[in-house]
Amino acid sequence: MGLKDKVAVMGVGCTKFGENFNRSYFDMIIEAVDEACADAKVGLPEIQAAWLGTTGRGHYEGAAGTSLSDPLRFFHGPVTKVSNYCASGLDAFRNGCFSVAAGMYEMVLVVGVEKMRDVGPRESLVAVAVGEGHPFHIKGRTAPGFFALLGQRYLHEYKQASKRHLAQISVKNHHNGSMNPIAHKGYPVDLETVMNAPEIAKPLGVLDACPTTDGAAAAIITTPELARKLQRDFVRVKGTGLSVGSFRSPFDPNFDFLSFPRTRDAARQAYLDAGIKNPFKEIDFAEVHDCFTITEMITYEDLGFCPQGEGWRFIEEGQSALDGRLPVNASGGLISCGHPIGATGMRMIYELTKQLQGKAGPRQIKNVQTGLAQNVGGPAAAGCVAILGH
Amino acid sequence: MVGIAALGAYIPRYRLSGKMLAQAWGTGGSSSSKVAVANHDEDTITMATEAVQTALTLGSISAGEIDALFFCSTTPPFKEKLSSAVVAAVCDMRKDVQTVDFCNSVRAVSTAIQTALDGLEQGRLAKVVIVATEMRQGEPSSALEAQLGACSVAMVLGKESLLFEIVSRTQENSTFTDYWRRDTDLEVQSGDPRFIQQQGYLTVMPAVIQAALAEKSLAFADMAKVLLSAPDRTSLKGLLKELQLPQPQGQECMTALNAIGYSGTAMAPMLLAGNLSGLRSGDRVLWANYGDGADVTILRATSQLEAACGELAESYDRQLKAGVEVPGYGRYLRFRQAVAAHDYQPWNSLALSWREETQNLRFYGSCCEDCKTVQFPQRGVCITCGGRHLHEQKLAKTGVVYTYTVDHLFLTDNPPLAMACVDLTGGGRFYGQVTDAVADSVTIGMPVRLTLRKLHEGLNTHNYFWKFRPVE
Repeated sequence: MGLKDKVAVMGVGCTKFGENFNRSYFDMIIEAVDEACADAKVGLPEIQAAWLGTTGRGHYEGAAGTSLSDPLRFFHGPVTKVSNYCASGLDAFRNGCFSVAAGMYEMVLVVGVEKMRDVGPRESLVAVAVGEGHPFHIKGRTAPGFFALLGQRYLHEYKQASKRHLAQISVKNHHNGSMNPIAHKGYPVDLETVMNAPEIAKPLGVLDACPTTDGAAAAIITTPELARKLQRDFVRVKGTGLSVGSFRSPFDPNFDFLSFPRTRDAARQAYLDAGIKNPFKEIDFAEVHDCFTITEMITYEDLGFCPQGEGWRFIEEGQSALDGRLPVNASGGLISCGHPIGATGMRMIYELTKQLQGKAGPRQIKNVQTGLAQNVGGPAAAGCVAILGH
Repeated sequence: MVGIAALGAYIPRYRLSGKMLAQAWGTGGSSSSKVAVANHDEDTITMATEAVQTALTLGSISAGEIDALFFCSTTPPFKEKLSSAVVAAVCDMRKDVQTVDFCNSVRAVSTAIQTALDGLEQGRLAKVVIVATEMRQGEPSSALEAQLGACSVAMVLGKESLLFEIVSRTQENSTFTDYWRRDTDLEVQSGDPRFIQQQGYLTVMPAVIQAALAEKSLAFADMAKVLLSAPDRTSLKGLLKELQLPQPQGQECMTALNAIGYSGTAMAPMLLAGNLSGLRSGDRVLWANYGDGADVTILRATSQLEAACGELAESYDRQLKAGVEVPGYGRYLRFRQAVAAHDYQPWNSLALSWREETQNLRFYGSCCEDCKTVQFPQRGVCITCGGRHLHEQKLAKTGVVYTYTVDHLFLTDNPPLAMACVDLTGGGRFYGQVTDAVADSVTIGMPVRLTLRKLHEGLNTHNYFWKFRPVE
């Protein structure tokens, strides 16, 4: 049982993340897929099946795999659309991996993509929160507003933690992102600027949050045997995990707003799959879901990188810095790269692969063997983890 | 014997001062006066639910005992759809309760009282809730804007455990036109002040008051309190002079006009609710109401009132003192939709609203019979243990803030929006908007109350749901 060493990532591609006004949802898919195919030295006709991670209506055709098959003229194999909020990309990857591990397909394409800036920044996710959903319950919640609830409770519970620690995460990720050509907000910011940025949902300010972004990323996956036979520079999938819970977490009397139980469960599954017993020692670097700074801080704890309640210390001591013991978000994370919802998980796969292949340029972390990607989906509603390594 | 068995008042949090109006317009109101005004998410239904729940709680009467609910207002939120039925549902009354809207006159509460008395005397009804609730508007920059106040008062009429016995009722109808509002008018209109005072108020009121006293061979000296409803200070001063009332009798309305404003159907009941201090068993109260004529009710206080008046007075005083200025006159105009307000019409469903009425309006969650977790919304499978045996459980309307935030992105007419996650007394966790509070004043551990408010206008109707408000 398990995925360990049964699937290889043979090629990856990623578009520029940003306000891609002059490129459509379809344009970005083609760009990311072409880059992945070139990286894998594989043509589209050789792809046997595809998985698409996306939450929106695609290029306005609604909820179906046609959002991927149409732009690529990929009519000869199945295309499955996967939606699990912000975990859509990694979950699509998971499912693609299952098909390879099951021996069903040998050459599989996974794409994550989202177009968010065809409307104003507040007309995207905020507008959905305002205009759609249950007509009575949860009216008033926005994405920053939800994660802010954790920020408030965390700062209340752990007296040594402060907004300064949150700001340090933003500074770190912007610094890393300034070395990442695909990042949306790829420029450094200093601590004072972050701390004094306008508040969006107490205690979070504008620079504690990821921007509204367009982007796409893709990967070609196969078996390690075939990848070796084709003499490609590949990385192995070591394990994955997914846990899905409740959209109504603020009404759940068991939710303590200090951790993401779905992340913990997903990580547990992935660590079991990968045979990892001491994450801090055995994971060399990670791409985590810093939709907001507080999310990253809590995720250090949820992934077992540090004890619960010590996430603030982890960033304060520089453990997660690029030159730290366990670099987190060397890519710049969601805060610097941006967060096209369905694409983010696949951007993480792209970054893990480039780092493991030694192709991360000025962001390169030395001596990496095992990397972890993690998403939180929705209001603590889902958690997804994937571990890649040599 | 029939009479008033319980009383409860609701005074909204916000105030609009004469001073703010003078700054905005250069005119309007005396510098020391203010009127109580509704928040952007309040209307006469939401205010009525507050007053009714207060009356039932203070009177230790359960909602299930109520046979009828009479809703009195010249400003009901619906022209077609019963406001009384909504209030009865929110207050969790029986489905067979008689629900009636008494509208179109600021003296509607008097008609309601008479109708209730008829039902009580015939034996058809045992306990009747009458709630007077008002939110009349004057045109911005007009004298009326500085004069009209919003509030709500509920009374329970019954035959036992009375606070006041009703001794007599005297009335006179009139077609005299002083204040009016056509179906197409949003704001109250009024005639020449001197004409309407002299030929209206100062003609009808003294006549009915004298008739009421004569009928029972009583004089002002026999009254412990003389409560005279009046639309403005000048009218009241004129009446006091005309009646030659010994000072300080009759002054109570002046205080109410200066602190709450002229509140239409709720005016007379608010005078009663706000002037209970010092009443002893056997004391008589002369209670006069004006509008489309006038009426006088003579009440006799009971020993029950003497015992309860401290608590009743405290409830009123606390709300009166808790008043805060509206956060700016421009903001206030947006509350009243006099300037562009957000036309917030999210997706909505009649079927869903109907299906979830017990949960969303009557405020029932679920309780798991296996692990005892109280949960909201209602569930078929327990959120804690996965158990399948859950029953409906009424949730408490008090709680303590577990966590919160101040959101600057969500659409609201009174930004920024505080959202709180609250542990309800007795179980259940509720997440919702905080209203009537400065957003930054919310803290973890703060006690809050649940209050019914307008949430949005999805499907072109008023949609009500629960929000939090700070405890005064």
